Amino acid sequence: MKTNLKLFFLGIFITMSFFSFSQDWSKIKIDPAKEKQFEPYVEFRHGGGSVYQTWKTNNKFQYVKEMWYYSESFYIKRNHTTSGETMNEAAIDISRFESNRKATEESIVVIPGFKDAIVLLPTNKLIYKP
Amino acid sequence: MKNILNKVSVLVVALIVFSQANLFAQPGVGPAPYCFPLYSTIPCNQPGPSNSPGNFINDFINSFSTTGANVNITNNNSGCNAQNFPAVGIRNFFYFGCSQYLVVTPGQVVNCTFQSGQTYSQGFTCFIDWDQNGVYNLTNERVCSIPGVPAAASFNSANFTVPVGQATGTYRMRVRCAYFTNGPTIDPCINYGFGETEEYNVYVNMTPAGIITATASTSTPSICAGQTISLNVLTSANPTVALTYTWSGPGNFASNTQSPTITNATATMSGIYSVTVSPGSCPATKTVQVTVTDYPTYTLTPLTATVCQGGILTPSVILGTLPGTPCSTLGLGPTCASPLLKDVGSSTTSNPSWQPPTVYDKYYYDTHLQIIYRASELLASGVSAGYLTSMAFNVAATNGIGSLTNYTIKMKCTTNTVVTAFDNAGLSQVFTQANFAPVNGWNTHTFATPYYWDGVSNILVDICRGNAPWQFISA
Repeated sequence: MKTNLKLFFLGIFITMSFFSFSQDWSKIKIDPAKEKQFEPYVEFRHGGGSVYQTWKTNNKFQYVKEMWYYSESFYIKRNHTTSGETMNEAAIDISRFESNRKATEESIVVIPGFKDAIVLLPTNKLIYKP
Repeated sequence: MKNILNKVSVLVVALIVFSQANLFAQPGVGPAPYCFPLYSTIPCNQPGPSNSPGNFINDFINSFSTTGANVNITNNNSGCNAQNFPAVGIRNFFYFGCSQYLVVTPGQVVNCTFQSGQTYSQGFTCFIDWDQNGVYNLTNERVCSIPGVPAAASFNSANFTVPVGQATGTYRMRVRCAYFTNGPTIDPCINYGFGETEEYNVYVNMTPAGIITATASTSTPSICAGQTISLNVLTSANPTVALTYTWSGPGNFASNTQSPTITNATATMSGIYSVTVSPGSCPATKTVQVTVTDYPTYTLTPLTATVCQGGILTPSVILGTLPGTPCSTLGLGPTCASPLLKDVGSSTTSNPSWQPPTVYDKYYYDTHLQIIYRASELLASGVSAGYLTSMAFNVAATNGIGSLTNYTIKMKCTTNTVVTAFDNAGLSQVFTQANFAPVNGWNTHTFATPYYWDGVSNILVDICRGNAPWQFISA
């Protein structure tokens, strides 16, 4: 009887844990404005057009994770230097700067001619990396 | 009968053409004596044609144009112009020396407009080697730039003034883009991850010499055997400019005169004649097609074995078989009971399912594809002059491509050895099918009308079809 009770609670805990895990992705918040800006990079990685739309429909969790990577795995540090042009963050496909990312600390990428800089979150803070 | 070839089967399992026709758009003319601008990612469009949805590399000067000059550049929607340079490899570089150029006057203000491809924003800059020392000087030869990085595919302008004291002459201009790089900081030479470079000539106070147009023609486009073929070429060159003429054609025809003639023509002289006219640089090449038809053979048979003097002889005539007219579907020969099958090519690799172009792919709504089979390849495969009655493609995997609509195959003879641009003139349709669904293995297209190959020319195969519903699938 004791064993059955143990198994019963174990099952409940496993189910709850799985349910909780499977809902994690819904807690990832994507700014709609950023989603609009950065979706082309996700789209182009997945074939574009109807192929992409099908993938997006069938892989919602993966879509959210990738969108988070393209839009939230970095930020722009404004006025990092005193002079230069302003960066348009929407023009940044962050995967092209991935080689600059560090494991445990933020990395700052300064691009000549810009007063702003790109700051990449450390790898250990990423919830997803392609 | 020996000329009858009743089946050419073409092994096509590897049509991986990453950068499509533009990759070999013209024989590579490098930037020498200027530095080769470098990019880590070549070519500048991948995996599909420029501006295709799904391109994860789409970094190029899509449009560059000028206003305000005496003769302006209008080079819009050129996409990625990566080329394969002998002994160098593929470079995202194109020198538009003969086709696009500026003619300016000292003191003139020239406005330049730049546009990148879709999705990936580029910085733009422009240099002119005003002192003609073979180096783009960073301080006084950067003539205009776009500050910052404008939005992808947007049009952005900057201008420059031709120095008042600039000497008459020909100068080189370099237009360069680099992904997410501030225009005024772009170097003329160093390596960037993504982008493209174009070069142009700038003529100051002079009309460019050596850029001509040409028109090849014949007064005898279709003649009977025994008559004379008359060829001619006219150019826009100044009459005082010395020109060289280089004609070539079927049967190893060659001539260096402006208006050659070929007497006593035969059917084997049918085909495409090509002429290159050169004033020393920027040669112009044109072609003209000539068809020579042999007279049919015939036999005369009297209806009566004998006839009296003064009587009337009434013979019957049996026309023999019309010989085929090379490079056409005219003049059918007798059918062949045992067609020969020849495999052209021996590749054993195949394209991935997402990789266009192939002879059977769905990429957008319609596909127009041209392939050249060189005469040397056909001859090496055992094909000789005669009738081609079908063509087959070997498919490794259909990848669920489904049906293609109005699948149409056309052919023509050509002197070209590579596809540089669509050549739609003079094509003969040999096959069409309202709905064609490729299968794994050989897919045979039996020609409605056999095509007579002259055994000398290269064959351009033109394939058109509808793709609806469109997908991104290649068999």
